[in-house]
Amino acid sequence: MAALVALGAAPVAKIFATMEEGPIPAGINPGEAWLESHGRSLGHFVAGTWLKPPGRMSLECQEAATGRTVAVVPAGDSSDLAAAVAAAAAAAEAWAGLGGPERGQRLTRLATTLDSDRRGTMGALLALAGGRPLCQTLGADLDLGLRLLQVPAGGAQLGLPGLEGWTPLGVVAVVLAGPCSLSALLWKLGPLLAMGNTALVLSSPAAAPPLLLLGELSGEGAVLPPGVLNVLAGPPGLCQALRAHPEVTSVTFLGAAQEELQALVWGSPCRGPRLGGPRGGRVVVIVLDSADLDSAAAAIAATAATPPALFPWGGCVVLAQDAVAVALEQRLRARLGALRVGDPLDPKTEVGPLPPGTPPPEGVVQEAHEEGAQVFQVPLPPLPEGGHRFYPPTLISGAALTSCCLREPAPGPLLVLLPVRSPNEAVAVASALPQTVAAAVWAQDITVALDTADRLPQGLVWLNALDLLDPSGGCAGGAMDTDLDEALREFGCPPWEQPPEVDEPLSPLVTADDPGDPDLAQAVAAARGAAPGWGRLAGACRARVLRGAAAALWGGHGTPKDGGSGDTDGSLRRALLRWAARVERGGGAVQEVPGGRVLVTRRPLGVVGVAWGWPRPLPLELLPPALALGNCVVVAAPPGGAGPVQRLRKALVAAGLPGGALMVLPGNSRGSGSRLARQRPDGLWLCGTDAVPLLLLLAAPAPGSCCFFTFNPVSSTFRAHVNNLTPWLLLDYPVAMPSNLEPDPQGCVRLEMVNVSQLLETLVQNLGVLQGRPSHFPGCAHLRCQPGPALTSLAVRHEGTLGARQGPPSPAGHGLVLLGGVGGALGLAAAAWMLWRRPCAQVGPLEGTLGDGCLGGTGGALRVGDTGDAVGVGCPGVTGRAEDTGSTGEHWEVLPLSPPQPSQAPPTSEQDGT
Amino acid sequence: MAGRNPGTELELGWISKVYVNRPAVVRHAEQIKKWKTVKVAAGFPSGQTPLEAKLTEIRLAVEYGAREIDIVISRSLVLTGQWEGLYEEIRLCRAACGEAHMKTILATGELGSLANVYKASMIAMMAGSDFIKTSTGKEVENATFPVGIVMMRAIKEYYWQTGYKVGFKPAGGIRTAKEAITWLMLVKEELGVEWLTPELFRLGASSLLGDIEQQVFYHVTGSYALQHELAMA
Repeated sequence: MAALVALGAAPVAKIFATMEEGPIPAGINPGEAWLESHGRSLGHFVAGTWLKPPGRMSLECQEAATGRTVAVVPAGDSSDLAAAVAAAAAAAEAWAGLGGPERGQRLTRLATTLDSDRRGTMGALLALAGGRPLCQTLGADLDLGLRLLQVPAGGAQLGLPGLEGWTPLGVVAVVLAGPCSLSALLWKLGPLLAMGNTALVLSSPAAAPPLLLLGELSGEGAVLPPGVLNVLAGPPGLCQALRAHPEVTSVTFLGAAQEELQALVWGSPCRGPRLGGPRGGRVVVIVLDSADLDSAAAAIAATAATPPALFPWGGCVVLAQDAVAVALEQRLRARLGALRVGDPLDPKTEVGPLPPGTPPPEGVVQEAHEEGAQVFQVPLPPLPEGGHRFYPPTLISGAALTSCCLREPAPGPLLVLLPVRSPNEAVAVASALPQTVAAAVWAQDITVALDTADRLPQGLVWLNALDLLDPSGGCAGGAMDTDLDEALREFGCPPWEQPPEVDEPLSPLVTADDPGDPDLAQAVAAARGAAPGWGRLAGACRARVLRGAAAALWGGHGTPKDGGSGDTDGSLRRALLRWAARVERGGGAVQEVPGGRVLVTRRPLGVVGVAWGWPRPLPLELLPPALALGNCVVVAAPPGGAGPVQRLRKALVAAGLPGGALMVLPGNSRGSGSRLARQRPDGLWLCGTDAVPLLLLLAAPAPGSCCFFTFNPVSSTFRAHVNNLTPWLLLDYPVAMPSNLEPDPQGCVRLEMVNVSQLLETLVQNLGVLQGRPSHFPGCAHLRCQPGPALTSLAVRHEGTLGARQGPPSPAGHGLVLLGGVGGALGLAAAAWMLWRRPCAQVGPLEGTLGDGCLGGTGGALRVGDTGDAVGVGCPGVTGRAEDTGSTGEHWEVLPLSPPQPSQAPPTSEQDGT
Repeated sequence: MAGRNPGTELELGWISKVYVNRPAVVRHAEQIKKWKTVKVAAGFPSGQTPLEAKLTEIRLAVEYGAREIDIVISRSLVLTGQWEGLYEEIRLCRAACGEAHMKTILATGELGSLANVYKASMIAMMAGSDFIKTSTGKEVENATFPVGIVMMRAIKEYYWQTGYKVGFKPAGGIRTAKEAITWLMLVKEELGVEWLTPELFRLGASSLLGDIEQQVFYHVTGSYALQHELAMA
């Protein structure tokens, strides 16, 4: 009783009348205590210690719920950044030299420290700064974050077989450009550090306290050597200062919305920017008529209250089948009404304030109301500071499909309920909603549920769940998180990156036998027609076709005049057989994750275009993997390679391949790549073709599409796209830009020298023009920025800026692989079903054997960005791993299709002569 | 006792499209349990007595002045999906009870699936039960949280359909004060605070009292009571 009195609790009779939860007797908030221990004046964490530069203006760290200033940090400027970069660079070599096992051990120790001693402090700071309720930050969020740190650490300790010969990148900057949870940061930080890179985290002052605590923990007892993890707080523009530091080899942006990222990346040409981590967006939930409505409503309300840890707030759209829409709405209203809105530091709270810097979705709700939709809003209870940082749980129903609340994601606890007639309509609506990052399907009918989930375009699909996230089961549909070694490779440099010593002339730009646009359009349309059927065939059926073709090729004789030698035939047969064997076992693997099981399988991209512009035969071994995994391929092959391709096609078709699945067009020019790109295949291999016009083409986003670049072959693979732009973004160095995107009457592309930032700026300005005229580019006149010397090497300066690194291949001569399309992995859980699919899987896999076989040991990776990860391939498999490791390092990365030109021999010089 | 549930016609439409996703319900129960870390009749106990005997027993009990009658449903009717039969049986019991309160024990551990629990709860309420109760306490599986969640959801649905509040009584297997508090949390979460009254929510737990006494003893004295210090529960 004394305890109750001490708590100031109400008399027992009153408690029984209201049955309210009493206050939870907590001591002093550990987060506040930590801030207090630093005198509420933090610094930057650099080189294992606090950096508090004197005389600096200070920035306020505010509490998310009230806007109260809880601490101050010095405003970071370029000198702080320089100090941090220097510290990171100094630590890089020693950290990389420690070796994987030691690094893994230290990271594990960091996770243990975070888990045991400082869990409460971290959870409280996260709730304080980010506004997510304490029960989440202390529980699920931190658990996921720790898993994301521990899994790569464990991988590094073991030494993964797929990582032999990989070296770290060096200093990697991580820029938190938007609301970003700790788990999202650790998602990138774990692999980054485990791979042996040193990190420089730039954060806004609002998000800084938890990150600074992480830094301090890494310094305590020298868990990580000084300089390995540096945390800097500063104004948003601070990351622009990175471009003065060539030691920073890569920049990863976290949490930024797509448009902001575009501005950041393109406005500030810093090196190797990559879109990592969660993209802003919302979750779409499909509730079919066989769903457990109560469970669905409970899960949806919980997601609306606090979205899953890796997705920033983007609202939630619920598509309910007509038969259950009314019942579901009733349940959702009841659940939303019961949500406890309040101070995020209170363990009982379910809905915290909006994340810092997020405007309330007032306008969207207002507009929906004016359009005639019903808006159900739960009145807010009395809240700290008048509750102006809070938004009440809201349900909008009866909105039109064109309504603003569906077109734009609105942050906050906002649900939009839309009735749909059938699963088909649900899939159609879910596919058309912009900015959805994940989907969930609720249906007890397993057939319907799986079928619906299968057809959704979202990267991550849950079945009858809404919160299963785990590093081993695919986190957010990101490109790099199915396989641990893929996650690690994102921050590694492959052993074959050295530029090759091959010098080959370019093919003439346009020849008479080039396929025209109508031919290409027809071929792509035929492939598109064949793609669903071929892609849905069982692996065994596809394997049978490949085996049949291999047998047929065995009997036939490769004729030298076709450009096929006996040896090529042999390796082609081997490739066919190997991929037949692999695809048979490629049905997926069940992975246990906390809360359920996930089955990860790979799915085809769709139509892959292959444009081969080199006067050497096309390495046919590239085609079996693409076909085996269910893609359809359109090849524009040079005369030297067309014969063997035709022969392969004949053999495959005789063995049962649908005619449209492999289309071969004769082509020779460097222009066929961009023509092919204009047909919008889902993926594109470009081998030695015109890179710059293609880049311009790729850079044009579809009008009105803010998240996905649907116009171009890199649809939804913005990341790959940015990677491709990387060499141009390193510094503001001159590049050659074509002034005529269509060949002029002499068949030339005129190149001019401009600065890269100018090129990109002009490009951004003219996107609309480029976009509006996909087949011709009258807008190219606008791109003529400044006439320069007619042609110069594109990469001379480039090499200089890279210092010790090998000069990256010059743009035009680069064997370029562009990726795109939707496809990839499909996971499904058994107990709690969850599906996930890579939204941006890449072009069909090439085999490791290529590196030494047909390509004559050119060994240049098809890494378009020098700091980018090796471009992953469509189907990093879940099978065949043991066997593969025995062979010639069968990595899943794309190996070179063509030897990148050495920088000293700019490929365009031949062009100049014409 | 608050207003009695008069029951309704048998509305099979209410239960024909019922699905319960067990993993989701279990996860939900786990979550609520985690929050807290941050914070006995006729036909008894097997329900296998012939209906005639059951009815006679009830009439006798009411005659002797019983004001509350617990009945156990025939689980074979649920397992074979004879909802009309189940409805009729409970209806007859209801009539036999007269003015007395009727609690229907579903013996949820033996109903096979959560969907069956939901459907049986609905039928029992349609037939006029004033309380639905998880189990007699004598089955292998007694009042588990997932089962409780499903029954409470059925109660809420019945309330939405008819406007009658039916009571809920988990019984069996509840031994500690902590579990009892989790039940309170569950009721508050699923049904709302208006169900947290003795008229609408009860715990059937013969060994719970001892634990509560122990906890009270601890909070008052700072140490747990020795065995002889408390009366035998």
